[in-house]
Amino acid sequence: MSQDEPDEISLDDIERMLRTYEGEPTPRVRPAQARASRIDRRAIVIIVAVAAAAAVAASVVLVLEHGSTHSDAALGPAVCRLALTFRGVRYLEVRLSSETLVRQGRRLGLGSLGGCAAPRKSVEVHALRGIDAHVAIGRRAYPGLLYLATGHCGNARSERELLACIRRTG
Amino acid sequence: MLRLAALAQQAIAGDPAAVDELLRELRPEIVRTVRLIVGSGSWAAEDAAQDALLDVMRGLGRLREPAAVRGWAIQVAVTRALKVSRRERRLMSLRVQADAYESPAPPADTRAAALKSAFDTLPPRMRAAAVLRLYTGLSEQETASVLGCTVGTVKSQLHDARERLAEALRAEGVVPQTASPAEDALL
Repeated sequence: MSQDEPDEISLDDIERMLRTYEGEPTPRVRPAQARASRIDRRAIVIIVAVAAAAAVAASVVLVLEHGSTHSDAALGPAVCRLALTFRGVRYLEVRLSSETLVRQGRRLGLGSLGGCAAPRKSVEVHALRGIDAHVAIGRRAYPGLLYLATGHCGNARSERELLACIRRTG
Repeated sequence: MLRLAALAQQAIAGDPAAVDELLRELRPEIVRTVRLIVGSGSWAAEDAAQDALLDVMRGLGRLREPAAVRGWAIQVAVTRALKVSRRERRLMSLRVQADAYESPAPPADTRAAALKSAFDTLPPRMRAAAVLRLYTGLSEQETASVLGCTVGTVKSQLHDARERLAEALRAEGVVPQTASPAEDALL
């Protein structure tokens, strides 16, 4: 595969074109440079140990954006969660174990999704069948996600308890 | 690299500040990679880049090796980019063109513009192979791993991309080969 044949596009040509449109790529640290010294490795081990200990100590309580805290028992693994704002109510994203646990109903309108350093965007919001929209709502394109209004069912300890709670609340 | 691994470890452990910081670090590379695969300058590319960031954020809980967070994030982003690219190709085949939101820093020479137009018509996986190898800076092995194919396939995708691009430029009446310094001096 020669790059110097006439009438050919070289890989350099393509690379230059890509840079023209998106600018210089993020500089990459070569593996040799990235190799951790013993001190670095020790620091990582300490950071990891401290982080793990903090996670255990904090149990399942998460500090979410705007400084609000919520029990995370029913909300799955502890990572920052997106917040959906719809008609002045703030809902937090919950990933369900199956897409068939809740059924989507009529379209309610547009909400604003953001948080966790992700850019804010408008999304279509749908009601969930048998569930008060003040308690939980969904998005058409993501049947496996549920958006739980803050202040509702925060004490549920499992997905089953959460679903039972949102069905009887409202 | 070590910083990313430490941030990923803290993010998985549930530190919201670490999630924010990690996404800030990964964001430029993810956004640029996705845009180039989908087609810089279209709404579809902007949406895909945003969705890729959301995919990365949502998937953090499933990341098993914090040290591999960069490669994992690129893989998640490329999966999203390929999905959107395939959808866009189907729409193109129906002659429903996505609107361009703006022309991002249009190049002065027509050759680069023609090359970009031709590049955007390549099959999505071929574009992805080229972007990952030539822009993102992954090795052939890493590119193959992200795309779920062999190193040989990556090589042949790049070879085919060059041939197709040259052919497309010739069809447009643009000289494919860059003028050498000697040729420039004669002009």
